[in-house]
Amino acid sequence: MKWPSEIRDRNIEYVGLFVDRLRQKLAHTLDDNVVQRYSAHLAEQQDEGLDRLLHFFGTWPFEGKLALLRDGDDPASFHLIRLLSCTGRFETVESDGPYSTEIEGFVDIFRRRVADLRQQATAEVLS
Amino acid sequence: MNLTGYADPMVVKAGGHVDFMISGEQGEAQIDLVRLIHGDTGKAGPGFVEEVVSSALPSTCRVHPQRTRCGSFARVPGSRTWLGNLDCGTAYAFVQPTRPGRGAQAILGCIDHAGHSGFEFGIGPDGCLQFQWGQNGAIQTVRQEVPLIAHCWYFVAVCWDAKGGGIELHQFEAINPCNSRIGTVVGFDLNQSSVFSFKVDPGPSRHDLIIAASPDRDDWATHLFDGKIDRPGLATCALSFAELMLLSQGANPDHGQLLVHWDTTIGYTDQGIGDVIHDIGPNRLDAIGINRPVRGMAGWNWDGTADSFRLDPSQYGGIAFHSDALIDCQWQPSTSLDLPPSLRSGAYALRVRQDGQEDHIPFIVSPSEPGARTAVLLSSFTYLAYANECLPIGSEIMTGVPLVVTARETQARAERAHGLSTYDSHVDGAGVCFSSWRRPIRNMRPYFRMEHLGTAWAFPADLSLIWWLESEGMDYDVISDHDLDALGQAALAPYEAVITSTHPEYYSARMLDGMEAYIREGGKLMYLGGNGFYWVTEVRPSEPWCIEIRRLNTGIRAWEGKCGEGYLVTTGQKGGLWRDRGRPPQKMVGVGFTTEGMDKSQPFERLSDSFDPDVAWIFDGIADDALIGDFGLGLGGASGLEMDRYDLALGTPPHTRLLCASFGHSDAYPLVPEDIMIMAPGYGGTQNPLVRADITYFTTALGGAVFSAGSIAWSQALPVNGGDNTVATMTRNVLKAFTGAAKTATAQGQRDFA
Repeated sequence: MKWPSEIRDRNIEYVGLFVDRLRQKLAHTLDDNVVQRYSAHLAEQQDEGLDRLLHFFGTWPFEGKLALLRDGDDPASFHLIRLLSCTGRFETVESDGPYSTEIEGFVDIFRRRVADLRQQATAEVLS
Repeated sequence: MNLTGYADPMVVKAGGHVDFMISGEQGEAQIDLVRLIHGDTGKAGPGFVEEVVSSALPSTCRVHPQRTRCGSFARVPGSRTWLGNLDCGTAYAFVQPTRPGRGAQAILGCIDHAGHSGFEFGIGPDGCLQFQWGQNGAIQTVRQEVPLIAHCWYFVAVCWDAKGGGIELHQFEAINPCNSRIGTVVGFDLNQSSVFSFKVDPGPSRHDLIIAASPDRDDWATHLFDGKIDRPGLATCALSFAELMLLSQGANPDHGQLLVHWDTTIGYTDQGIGDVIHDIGPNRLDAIGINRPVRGMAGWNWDGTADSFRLDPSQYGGIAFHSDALIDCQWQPSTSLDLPPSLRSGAYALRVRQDGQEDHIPFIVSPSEPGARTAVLLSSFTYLAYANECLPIGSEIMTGVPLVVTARETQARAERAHGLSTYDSHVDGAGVCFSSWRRPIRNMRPYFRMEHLGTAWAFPADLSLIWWLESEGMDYDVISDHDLDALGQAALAPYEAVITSTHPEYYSARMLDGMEAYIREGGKLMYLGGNGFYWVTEVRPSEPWCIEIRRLNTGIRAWEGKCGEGYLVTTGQKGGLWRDRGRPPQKMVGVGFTTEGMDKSQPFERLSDSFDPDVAWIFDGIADDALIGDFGLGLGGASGLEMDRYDLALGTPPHTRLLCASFGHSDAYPLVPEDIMIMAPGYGGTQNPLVRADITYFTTALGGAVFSAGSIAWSQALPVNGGDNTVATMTRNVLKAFTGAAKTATAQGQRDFA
């Protein structure tokens, strides 16, 4: 018996389908005020719906994930970056920022992720 | 009086002999031999189905109330001869009581409670060390004032001299940083020594000595001890304080003064240890454990440097005794049956009826000679592991619906009259590691539904597979885990295909070896279950009625063994999960345990591999977009209860096809703990893609194949709609291919290995 020359991890197919469905489900929970609700309660426990959304964002792969680069100590500024790997390599996103506080950066990242989620969910439906 | 009973043996070959032990009202009971076809009375299925089988049984038998007496202890046969008039002596032991203050408990006892002769050294009702003796109806009791603390080790002794001396009671704490519930930093003063004078002379006992109990009036035992006892003994004189101090530090007793000294560390081998507790004194008064006192327990001197008696038996002198342990009811047979060698294999029961009550006493018959192409492997180990499960019923958090109870089940749970399952804990909190068939098993009945689930489980659930095979007119034999354990591969080799039950969770090394060899050498397995091949489970070959497990610190577990107590005394092997011993189920069957939940089951959906022309035969008659099993007796779907997943990292063969998977499980289905390294949110079914069941298929080099459904609920979907459904269609396609009725499976296998 020959060892397979190419091994395909079938789990990837399932995970893709699972994430697609979860994305659709979460996209339906988004309303026009979601960014405002997020920013208003950023320092507190978010409601359950937002909690699930944040967890979903948290599971996104490192490659391409938005993050902040802290520059300087006091006062510091925060630049929007895009991670290139799980080791923390990144590229700067010049289109926005810098932010004077982390909170501003967090809210902007959240806004962008919500937009991405909506776009991906719409694209999936259309396809 | 409930009508109930048990069969011994519970698994038997056609041609063998079975005794039926029945307890009921004094009088006649009507008895019939029945073959069990279906049990679950859920509305979507065929309901309860049995077939009366003509046999040599009489139509009635005499029954009477039979008493069950629980508790583990050790008898010392012949000891009364040596006890004589023990005017002076010393009784001593290391002890770790677990329930002091819960009634009188004997460490060593031979007192005759009717005539008050003999003595009992133990713990009084208030939890204080106590010595009691008597003669001719007069009794004297002396007691310490400082109570013993639960789960802490002590050296305890009583010295007496009726000829001019008095009585001394001593307790010295023996706590080290590892061996007890509390550590050493505070330095509690738990020691006490007290002196008393005689008012009643000690008299000889008419009973043999018992360790961890005293003799009862009916030659059983009373004042059962909960906790561990290590290296107890008796000296023929009152030892001095200095001599006791030496003993308390672990010195060997002076042989010249010994009557008996049970060295509980003797007898260990790499294959475990038995029920004999060896006396190294001059009289060789070995003690015999009753109801399996638990060996392999960390002793008073366990210092955390050894994790097994195999590494350092001298640290494993602890023997755990439990007042609610039960291995053997020792009931009298009410009737017996010599099974004809031609009897068809299957799940059978003695149906007993008396005064409007009915019970089915189940047993499994394997064929005298294999005669079918297919074997159904019933999970007799699993049935024992769950036998009389009494987990707290407040599991609505898992089921999502309010509990539905029955009066009889509630009463049974409260009484715990016939012992516990390996899911339960003894009254002192220690997990139950032994379970036996020599007792009535109330949840191994064809119509039993688990109260917190409202669905059949294990034996009654497996009958759904039996019903379907019957309805399909399939030719099959029934064999059991015990056959596989006894015979290994030879139990499976005669069959072209083997079908598992819904929940083959408990497996011995011999069973795994046998199953792997069967598949490797060309056998075809249909693993139609979930959470299979999970816990290391063993029996002594000469005592197949009793399984042993040790639940360790991973896996979904109803309890967790104490530090250093993870090795089975039955075989000397490490317990816990097979996955922790390098044998995750994925290696053998492609899938392994990933989640369990009890609220609702889901259907399977086809994935891309299912459209591969090489496996199209599995899906004959099933539409491309069909939901497979959006129905079932197991919570309404074919994917549910306990489920398995494909995982290359855990050993799924790399050419395995992932044919189908389930979606949409709730957060009542969490990922199993053995997969979670760092805790975080999102391990529930709504957010985690590993929470699912997978259907897989792979072939082996010598023409074997494995089809895995990866879900307990699969076979419980077979009987829905009279057996006309997608789950049944797939199962039929695979079984026919595996047994030569269709050649497709072999052809596909040849392509895989070309």
